[in-house]
Amino acid sequence: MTSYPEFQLEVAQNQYLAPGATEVNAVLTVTADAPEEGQFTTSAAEIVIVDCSASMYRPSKLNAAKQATIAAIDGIRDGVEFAVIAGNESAKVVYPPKHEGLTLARADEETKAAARDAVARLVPSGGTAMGRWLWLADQLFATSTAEIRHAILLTDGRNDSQAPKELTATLESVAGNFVCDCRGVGTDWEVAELRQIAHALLGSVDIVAEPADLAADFAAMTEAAMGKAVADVGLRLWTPQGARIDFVKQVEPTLADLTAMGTPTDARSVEYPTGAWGSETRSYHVKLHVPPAEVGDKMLACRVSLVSSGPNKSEIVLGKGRVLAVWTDDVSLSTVIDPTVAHYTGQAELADAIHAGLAARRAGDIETATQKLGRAVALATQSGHEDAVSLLSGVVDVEDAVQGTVKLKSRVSAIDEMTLDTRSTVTKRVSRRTGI
Amino acid sequence: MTNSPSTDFSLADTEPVRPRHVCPDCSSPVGKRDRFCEVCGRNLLLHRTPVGGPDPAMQVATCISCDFAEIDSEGFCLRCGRSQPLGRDRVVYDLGVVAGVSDRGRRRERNEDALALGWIGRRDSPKCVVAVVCDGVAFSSRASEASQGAADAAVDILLSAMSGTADPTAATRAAAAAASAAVNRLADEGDHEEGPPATTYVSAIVNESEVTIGWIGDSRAYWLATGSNGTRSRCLTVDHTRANELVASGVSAVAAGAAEDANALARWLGADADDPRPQVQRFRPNGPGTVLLCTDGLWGYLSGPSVLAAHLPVGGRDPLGTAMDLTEAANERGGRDNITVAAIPFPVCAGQEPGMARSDSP
Repeated sequence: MTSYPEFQLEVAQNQYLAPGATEVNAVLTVTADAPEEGQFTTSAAEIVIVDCSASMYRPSKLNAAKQATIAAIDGIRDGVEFAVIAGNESAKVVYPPKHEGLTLARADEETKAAARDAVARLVPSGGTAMGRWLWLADQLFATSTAEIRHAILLTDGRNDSQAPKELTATLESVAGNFVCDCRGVGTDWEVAELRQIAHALLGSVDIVAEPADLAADFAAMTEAAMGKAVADVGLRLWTPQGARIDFVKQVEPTLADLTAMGTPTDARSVEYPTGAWGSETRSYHVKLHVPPAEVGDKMLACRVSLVSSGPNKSEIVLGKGRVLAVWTDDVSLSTVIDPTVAHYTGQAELADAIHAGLAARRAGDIETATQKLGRAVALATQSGHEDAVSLLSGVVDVEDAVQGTVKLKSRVSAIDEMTLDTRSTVTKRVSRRTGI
Repeated sequence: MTNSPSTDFSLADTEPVRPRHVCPDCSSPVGKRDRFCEVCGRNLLLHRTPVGGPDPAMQVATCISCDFAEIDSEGFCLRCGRSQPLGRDRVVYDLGVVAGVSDRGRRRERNEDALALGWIGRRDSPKCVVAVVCDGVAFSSRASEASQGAADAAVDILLSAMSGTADPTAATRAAAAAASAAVNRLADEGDHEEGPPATTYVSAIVNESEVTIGWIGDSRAYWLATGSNGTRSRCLTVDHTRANELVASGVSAVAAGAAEDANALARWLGADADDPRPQVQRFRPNGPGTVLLCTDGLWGYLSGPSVLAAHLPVGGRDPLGTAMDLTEAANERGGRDNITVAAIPFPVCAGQEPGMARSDSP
C-alpha cells in the first residue's frame, strides 16, 4: 500500500496581462514530504543494470563497477524485490540465478549475499546495446506488482551494437513502466544517448569521472529510490476551451521538457508523468496560450492537479493549484515579470547556451562557441549558479564573468567538457528572498 | 462580457407569490383584497429588493461568457475558464415596473455602488414606484456597505411614507435622512484607516402623475422621453461638485471647470458630511418616458439626455432591457468605474410579468 506524502503546490506567476495578450507563464513548485523511513508501506523493486562489455576490461573500471553494484545491493531495503542485469550486445540476469526463471528476488541477508557473489564473478566481453538491457529490465519488472519500480543503468561506452531507432523503439515501449537513473563512467560514452534514456524514463543522468567514486554514487541513488513513497504521479493540467499548452518543462532540480510526454485524459486535460516522489521539491514551468479577453476579465488559465492512482483504479489528488489570467490596461501591473518565472527562463537559456556553445566548439565554429559560452558564463554568474560558472571555466578562460567575455581554452580535457555537457541541465534553485 | 444577469432577482425570486394568494414572507394564504397578512403582519402592497443586496456567495447559473452550465465552486466556468461575477459584482433586479443593474465595470476590483427598488400597490395596479442609487466613495472604508445600507434604509422610508399620505418632498427628505443615519451608524462601528464611510445618493418617487427626485453628490437622475410630443429628455439633477459650487457662487463656468478638483464631490452622505439634506426636484411629465437613476460609471461615458434616450425602446416599456443596454454600453466604452442604472417607465402602470424571456437578454 502506498503511504502518500504530503504534497504542496505553489504557483508563481504574474497574473496580469496587457490588453490583447495571450501568453501566460507560471512556475509550479511541488514539495512532497514523505513519511519517515521505517514507516514505509510502499512496495518497491530495484534493478541494477551494469555494463559488462569488453571495454570494461580495465580492472579499475570493472572493479569499480562491481563495487558500485554491490554498494547499490547493500542499500536495498529488506523485503524489496531486486535483480542485477549484466549488459553487452545482449543482456542477461546475473541475479537471481537462471534456474529460478524470469523473476525478481526478495531482499534479505541471504539473497543480497548471493547477489554480491554473482556480481563479483562478472567477466566483461562483447559490445553495447542498452536498449536490450532495458527491455530485459522491463520484462523483470513486469513480473512484479511493486509500486515503486526503479533501475540504475551504468555504462562506459556508446550504444554501438544496435541502431538508434532500436533504442528509441524500446524506450517508447517501456516508458512509464519504471524510472531509470543513468550513469556514465569515464569519457567514452555519449552524453546525448544517456540523456535520451534518462529523459524517457524520468531519471537523472550524470558523469562519474573517477571509477572510485561510483560506489558512493550508487549508494546515494539506491537510498533516494528507497525513499520514494509514491510512484507514477501525474501532473495534470486543465486548460479552458480555446487555450493550449505551449510547453511544460521541469526546471528544478534539472531541466526536462515534458511537453511531448503529455497524454490527454479528457477533452481539456493533459497529464504529464513525473515518476516517483519521496521527500523532495521540483518545479515546472508551464507556458500557456489563452484566448484573449477584455480588460477587467479574469480567467482560470490552468487548473493544476497532481494525481496518483489509488486502490481499485481510483484516483487520488495529491495537490492542487491554479494559474490565472487577468487583463488590465495598467502597465505597471502587466509588465512585471514574476521573479521565479524570470529565474527559470534564464536557467533554460543557460542550458541552451551551453549546448549550443559546445556543439559549435565541436564543429570548429570558434566564433559561435565563444559567443554562446560567454553568454552562458554571464547567465550563470547573474543567477548565482556557481557550479555552472566553475564547470564553464574548465572550457573557457573568463575575462569578465558579468559581461560574459571569454576565450575558448586551447586545451580542454574530455572530462571537463563531458561534465559540463552532462550537468548543463542542473538548475540553480530560485532564492525565495530575492527571486534570483 | 455579455449582459446575462448574474444575480438576477426577478419578482419571482424575491417574492415567491405563486400561487398568487400567499404571503411572500410566511407563505400563509391571503385574500386577494387583503392589505396585510393576517399571520405575520406583512404589508402585502409593498414590494422591494432584498435588504443587504444579493447573497455574496450567489453564483450565476450559466457562464457569462460561453453559457456553459457548469461553474466550479470558486466561480470559474468549467469550459472557458472565465471567472464569474459573484454577489455584488453584477446585480440585476427586475420588479416589472422598475428594474436596475449594478455592475463592477472592467477596472475596479469591487462594486461599491448599490441600488434598492420598490413599489406600492396590487400586482395589477401599481400606485407608486421608488428607487435609490448610491455610489460608495472609493477611498472610504466599507464603501460598499455604506452604499447598500443607505439605499436599503431610504427605500424602506420611501415605501412606508408613500403608502400613507406623505408628501413626496417630505418623503424624499426623510429617506435621505434615514440613509445618512445608516451610513453614520457604520462609521460608529469600527476604525477606518482610509477615512469614514461615505456615499452619494439619488432617489426617485414616481407615481401616476409626478416624479420627485432627491440627491446629494454626483449620482444623477434623467428624464428620458419615449414619445415624440412630450416633455423633452433632460437631466433632472445638478452634480454637487466643486465646479458647480463655484458656478453657483458666481464664477464663470469656464473658470470653474479649470479649477483644481473641479470634479471633486462637494457633498455626500457620511460621517464627515455636515448636511444630509437632499436637493429636491419635482416635475409632472407630459407624455411617456423613463426616469433613469445612474452613477458616474454610466454618465462618465454617456451623459447627453438624447444619447441616453436613444437606448430606450421608442414608445415601449422595457426597464430591464434599458438598464442592461446602458450598463453594457458603459462597459464597452471602458467600464472604468462601477456602473449602476435604475429605470422606471412613466406613467406607472402594470408592466409585463418580470422574469419572462426577453429578446434583448441572451
